[in-house]
Amino acid sequence: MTKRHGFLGEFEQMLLLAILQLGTEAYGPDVARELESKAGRRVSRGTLYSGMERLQKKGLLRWEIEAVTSERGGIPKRRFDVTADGLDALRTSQRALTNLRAGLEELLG
Amino acid sequence: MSGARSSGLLHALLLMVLPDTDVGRSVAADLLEEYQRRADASKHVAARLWYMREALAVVGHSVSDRLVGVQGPGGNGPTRGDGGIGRLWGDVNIVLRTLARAPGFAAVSVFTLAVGIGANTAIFSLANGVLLKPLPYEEPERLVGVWNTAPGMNMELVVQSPAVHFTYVDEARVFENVGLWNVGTVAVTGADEATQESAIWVTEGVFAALRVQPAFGRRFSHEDNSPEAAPTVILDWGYWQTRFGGDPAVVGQTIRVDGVVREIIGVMPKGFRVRDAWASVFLPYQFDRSEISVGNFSFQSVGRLKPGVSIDLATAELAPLVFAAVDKFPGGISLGELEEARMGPLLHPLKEDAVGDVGDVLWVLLGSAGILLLIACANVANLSLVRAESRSREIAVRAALGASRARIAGQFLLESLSLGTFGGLFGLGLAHVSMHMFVTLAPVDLPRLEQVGLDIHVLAFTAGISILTSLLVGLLPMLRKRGFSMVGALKEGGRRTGTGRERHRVRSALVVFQVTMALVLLVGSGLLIRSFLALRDVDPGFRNPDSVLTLSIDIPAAEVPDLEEMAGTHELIAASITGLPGVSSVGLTSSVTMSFLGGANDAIYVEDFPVGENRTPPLRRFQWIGPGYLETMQNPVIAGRDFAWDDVRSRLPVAIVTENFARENWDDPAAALGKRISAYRSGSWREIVGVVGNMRDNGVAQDPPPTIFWPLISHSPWRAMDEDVLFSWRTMAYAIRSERANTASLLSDIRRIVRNTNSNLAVANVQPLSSIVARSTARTTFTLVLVGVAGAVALLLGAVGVYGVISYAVSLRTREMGVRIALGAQTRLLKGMVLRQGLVLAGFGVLLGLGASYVATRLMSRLLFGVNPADPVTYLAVTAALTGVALLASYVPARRAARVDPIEALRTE
Repeated sequence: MTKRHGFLGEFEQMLLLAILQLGTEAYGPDVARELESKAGRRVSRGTLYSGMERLQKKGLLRWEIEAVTSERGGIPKRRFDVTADGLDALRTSQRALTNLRAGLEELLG
Repeated sequence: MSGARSSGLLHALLLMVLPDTDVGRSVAADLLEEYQRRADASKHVAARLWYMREALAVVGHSVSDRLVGVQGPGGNGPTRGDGGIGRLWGDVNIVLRTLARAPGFAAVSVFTLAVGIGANTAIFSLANGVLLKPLPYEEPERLVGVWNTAPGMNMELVVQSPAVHFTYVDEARVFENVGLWNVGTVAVTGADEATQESAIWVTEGVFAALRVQPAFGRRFSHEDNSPEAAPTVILDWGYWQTRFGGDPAVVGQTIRVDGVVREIIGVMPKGFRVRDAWASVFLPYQFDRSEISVGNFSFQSVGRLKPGVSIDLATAELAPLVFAAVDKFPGGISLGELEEARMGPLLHPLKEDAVGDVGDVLWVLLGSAGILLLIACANVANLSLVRAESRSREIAVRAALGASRARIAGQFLLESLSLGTFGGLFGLGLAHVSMHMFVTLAPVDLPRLEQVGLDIHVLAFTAGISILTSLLVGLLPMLRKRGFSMVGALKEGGRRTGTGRERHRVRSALVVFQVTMALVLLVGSGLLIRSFLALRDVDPGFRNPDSVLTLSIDIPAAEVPDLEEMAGTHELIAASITGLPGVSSVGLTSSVTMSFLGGANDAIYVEDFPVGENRTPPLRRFQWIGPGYLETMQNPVIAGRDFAWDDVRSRLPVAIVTENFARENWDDPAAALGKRISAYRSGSWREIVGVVGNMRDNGVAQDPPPTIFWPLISHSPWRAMDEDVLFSWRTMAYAIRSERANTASLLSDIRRIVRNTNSNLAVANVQPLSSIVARSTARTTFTLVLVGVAGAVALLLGAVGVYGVISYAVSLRTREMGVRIALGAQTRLLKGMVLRQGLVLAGFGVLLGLGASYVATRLMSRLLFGVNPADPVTYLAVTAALTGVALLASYVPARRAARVDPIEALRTE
């Protein structure tokens, strides 16, 4: 079954890329830090979690509730992961961008 | 986690808003973790700001996502796009954008509502913690305070006698459990210096009735309460933490309490209290039943009623048992005396005892906060009306383009709901901040203060009043919408005419209402200020409290068994302190005036006025004092003399009485000298050698009780003189008058003296006399500050209201003013015209306000002191002040009216 996701928004792409960058260490706070340090993009936690929910609804993202460490007072952690669909959507969007960039290298640097 | 505590409010809010799932909790925990990381990098303020911003953003997203049907963080909501919800989202969007285009209006409205809602939230959380929350015991509604009442002796409330108590234990069928308890202090000696600690003595029934088990160890058994049992002690959780570092191996160890070695058998759970009393150690009473007789009414008692037993039923069941106690434990008060006193049982719901009469204060505060909120609503409604006015064209256009009337009305409501929501959120923040202030400011006698905080009830309350406020604010412009004529609005071309004037009447009514309410609050504050001043002028009996330090020292029997040697030790310590540099005098007493630490109340027989058989004369306050106490406190001796050390050492049968006692019996203080009194029916007469000025021992606001002073150590007033039984208090309070009264060096000098005298003695209850006085007026001060703040804010909002309406009226009449000036009207007269308009508004408000105040202040009469609730001075002063402010608020627009340029005004035609 094929799904149509359309193109991803810029912020959605950034979220997925940041999660991929973090590999198996993609927890909420780390994603926020990654976005800030690598993309210079400061997002509020509200925006971040809302975006994650949206991507999860679309099936591009999933999370696991991870068992508890005592330092957090026994409260579970959410670890994020990009799904195969998510990877697909990312590729499609990136490809579109690459195609559009072709020939403009000199201008865009 | 310190982060969890310092940002507890927002964290609690997050947990409420986020769904109660692993995901929801993990979002909240993520935030806290990051906060912690930032705070650890020692940027506390920045971390805090970050946390506030982020938490609010998550809350905002979660709420708006849920509103439009998108799944919020961590939830499983419907998806966006359903028709109704999608349209709602559209409306929310429009409203938020409209508000963003009027930032001034939005900011003022939100701030005004935040002040109103915040004040209500803070006061409500106070009332919630103190009055509404149930006591922290299982099935607390079945717990009762067990008292007696003796209307025949004019005593409403009498504490419990062991004889009556044990009669209940043996024979009453209404109690599941009942116990005796009382508070006091003990000296605890260990490896280091002795410390004075608070203690609660209990019989086994107390913990059983409260249904509380120690955190570990065991509670007192029947055996522990028997006279021959080995001494035991249970520790308070906090004391165990500080003194024993929370070591669980403490059970089985021993500590010395008042010189007696006791085995620690348990530790009470954290935060445990007996009713509202707290202590470091709990000790078992060890009554010897063979020595009990009816009398010694000096114990607190708590009981748990059996299921289904009402207080009325229990009281009826217990009534005959009070008299049965005389048969069971003979040798004390006779049956005849009990009947004469009409002694009977009196049961209170335990919470009533815990809360006391503090409800008066809190209801007045809640009322004030409520009035403030009404004023804030009126203000915002007024602003909204102005806005509705200026937007009539926009609305007409939207209606012309096909927006239904319902949708337009809905949008207005949505707008005020947004204002209310933001106001509520900011109000919550304000409340959080001001609550810390309240709790620090609150008088020490405000019970259950540890229960105060933001909980689900408070949040629900805030949400409730926010919505109510929104409705109130949104309703008014909507009411006007009903008679709205689209054609008219479009035709008018935005010029304000007829409808404008009509709305103006609504706005004037709102302002009159604001002035009315402001007057009520101001009259309330005024009366409290007068009470405060009256309290300050009260003569407590002593003079110059600022240079007096008070403290108490207990000499337990285990340390110095002999009573005379014990009293000698107190005398020695007092003499040594007198020798310290800068100390002018030292006095010993069973209880410093107003400190409620000791002394007794008992009947006193006057030789000149014998009472009949089976009759008991009125109870009087008893105090025991050493020579020099009256001098130290600067209590004036009105007739006769102070005690001398000779009186004390040779045990002369002498007494000193207060002026009111002397006047009551002999009219003239001097006539009391040489008269004889006794606390013992069969005569143990003491001669009155001095009459001293009245002392307000029950607090500044209470009448001074007639008081009898016995020498520091003397023959027991309750025994026949020839029995030769001495009596003295082992705990003595010291009053020290010194120019160094409030210095640490004086205190350390005193501690050194005490240590050198006996290293097992401890200094306790150190407090300046001035703070004892302050505590006595703390409740009035506290209420005054809060009502005063509410009054000031109300005055400000009222002034803003008057200004807004008058200035708007002037703008409506710009043309008219221009014409008048063009026709040669004098500016002075124009000014007067506008001012008059302001005065009329204020006048109506003041008139209504005077009536409302007259009713409202009756409710606070119990908080007032030395001032009538209908005090004309206060009413006049407040009326003058409010009218003055209203004039001032109208003066600015009046000046503008007088300066209208006729050409400019007419050109706009």
